[in-house]
Amino acid sequence: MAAVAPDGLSRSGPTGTPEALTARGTLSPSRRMALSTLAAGCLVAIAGLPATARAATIRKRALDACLDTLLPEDGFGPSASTLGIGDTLIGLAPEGTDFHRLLALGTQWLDGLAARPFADLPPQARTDVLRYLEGADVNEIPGRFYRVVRQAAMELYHTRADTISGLPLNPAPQPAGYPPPWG
Amino acid sequence: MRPDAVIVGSGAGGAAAAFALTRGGLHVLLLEAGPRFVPARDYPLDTPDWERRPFPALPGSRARIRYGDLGRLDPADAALQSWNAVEGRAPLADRRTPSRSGYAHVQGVGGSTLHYVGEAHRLHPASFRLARDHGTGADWPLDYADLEPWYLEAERRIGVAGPSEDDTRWRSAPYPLPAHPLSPAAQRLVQAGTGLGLPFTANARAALSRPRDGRPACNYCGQCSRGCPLGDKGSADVTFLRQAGETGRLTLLPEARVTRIEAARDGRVAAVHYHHAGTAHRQETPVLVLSAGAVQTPRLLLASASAAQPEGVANGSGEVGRNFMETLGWTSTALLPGLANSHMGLPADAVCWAESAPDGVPGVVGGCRYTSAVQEIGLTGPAAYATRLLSGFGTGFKARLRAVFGSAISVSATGAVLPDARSRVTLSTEETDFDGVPLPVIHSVLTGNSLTLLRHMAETARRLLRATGAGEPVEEYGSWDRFTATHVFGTARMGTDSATAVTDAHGRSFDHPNLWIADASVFPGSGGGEAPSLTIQALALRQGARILGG
Repeated sequence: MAAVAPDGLSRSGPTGTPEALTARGTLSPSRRMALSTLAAGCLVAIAGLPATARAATIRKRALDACLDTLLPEDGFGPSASTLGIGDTLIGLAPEGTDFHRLLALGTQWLDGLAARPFADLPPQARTDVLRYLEGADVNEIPGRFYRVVRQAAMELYHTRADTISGLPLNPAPQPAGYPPPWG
Repeated sequence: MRPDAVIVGSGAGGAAAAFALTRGGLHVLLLEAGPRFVPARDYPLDTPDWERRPFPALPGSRARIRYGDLGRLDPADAALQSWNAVEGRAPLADRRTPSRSGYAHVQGVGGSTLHYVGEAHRLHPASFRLARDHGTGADWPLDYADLEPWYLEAERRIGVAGPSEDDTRWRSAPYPLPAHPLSPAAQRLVQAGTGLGLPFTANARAALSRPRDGRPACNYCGQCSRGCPLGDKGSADVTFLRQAGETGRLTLLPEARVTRIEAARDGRVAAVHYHHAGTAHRQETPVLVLSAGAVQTPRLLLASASAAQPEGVANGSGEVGRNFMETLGWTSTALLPGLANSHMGLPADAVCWAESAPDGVPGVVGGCRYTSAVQEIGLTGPAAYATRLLSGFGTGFKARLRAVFGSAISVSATGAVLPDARSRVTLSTEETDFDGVPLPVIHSVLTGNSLTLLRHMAETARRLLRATGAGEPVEEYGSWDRFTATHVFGTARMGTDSATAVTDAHGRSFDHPNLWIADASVFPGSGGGEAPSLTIQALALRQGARILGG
């Protein structure tokens, strides 16, 4: 092997574990570690918050609304929340972890933007918020929340069989492979 | 029963050594630090979540490595920073850091061939005489002609598929199998390269293009690096080790961690000490072959220091651990309108050797080569596109993903590295492993020669992409800011002078007549970007014949 994939969550390289082979619907420990590391990137910002904020809980409705803004239902696939991506993310974020705190503070931030909860905002308003987050500083909680949630959601969503409609893909590389001709 | 030979490590070199020695009638004990992988269990590429599963890490399959000096970053070279369209560019750091994979290796039965792509390269003939021709680096104590028969033997044992023509590396016989068909992305690079005077050809691949030796032909799933569940990839477990096992003279012991080499007063190696199943063992042997790779082999030699050998075993020259050479790499990716199904086909199926000779790139010593890299770098599924190549979100994002999926085109460049006094493997003074052996520390600094070559590699990769008609790059990464080494060399180099080399031309220690080294630590030079496994195997087969010949 000459080239090794970069440090993104999707890569080929010796970082998986046997647990990853059986734990369907979850990320492998190496990826969980990557999420934790990414989440910890704004620990300074988290540490500067009052204790009550650090103990915040994850707002599931806001998280699902965020995920469905990232990955909405369209003619080719269901929405992220339909696939339970939010539940999976929460499952990856036990209380006390940096990732849990990031999800909690991020969803709290979303719900604090307007008089109504984020999930009750019009679709265009939710899109505008995420557009803002795209360019936000990743060393602050909102920007880090967007980056970590987007990367994890994209990986979890696009590795579900019900999302490959419209793509020139088999459900998995094996057992059929891709024998030529390749068009 | 005392074995006739003990081999440490079952990767490319140890497996080929085991094959040679068992076929020659010796009873061999092969000690492998890692576990045995079971393809059907460990490489599940038949489930929808396959893209989240890189090559697995089983308990004990990754050694703990520490990193020392990896060099500083000069902002003047910021154009070599790693980035992609999703993550953007991070603020520049002061120093180079290891990537998540760092020294990418596998401890297990078959070693790093289990996760290698399976390029089966011969070194460029001129790479063997770098010092003679260019006044830098070190010469090999043998030349291409000495190794050519052994290259051929290794290719036959593996079942290498390669092109009918190769005007850079002469051959005494054709490749055992015809070349694989070129993937859609490779075909576009062939067209682009021809126009630039950078001709691409089918790469020599350790993957079967036809069924052979009870193994099936490749079905082009494109996932060689995640582990091959079919067995068409010529990793050491399904080739040399299987063939050695068929002799009935191989005893292979996984999860046996060697902790020390014991040298006797007469200069010979008397025994190896290892831990297995919770018990410490001492195994005497008349012949010891070390093949633990260019990090673990010098670590073991250095860690075996004693009152009689205070600098370590086989280290009369003081060169053990020195001359470390990493992999100089660069990869650029773009999206090419009109290209479809670029995720299909064999990874690294096309290669350009035009600049692989030591004088192949103006202004530097040591060449480089280019490959089509889409599959090799994991751009084979939608998750990779979504997390690396395409930013944004929403219905527009999803539509864009469907529109561009299969249009990624990538060029990887791999280049030569020259030995440098700062680049070496040492022992940690602070940390040991589970068995109490000091951890290895990798120090690897890019020299001016490497930086010049890396700039050229990046510019040429970008030029090739532009010539295909692709848009601007959407992902680039390389050695400038991230130490990522799949191939490492040089830490117990061979030579003709015991004052400056660790082994002779057959990998035999100058200090201990029954100690042999069969891995890339004996390489005096890195070559011009070639994958080293075939050369390691050819050297091991040649060494085996010498051991058997007395």
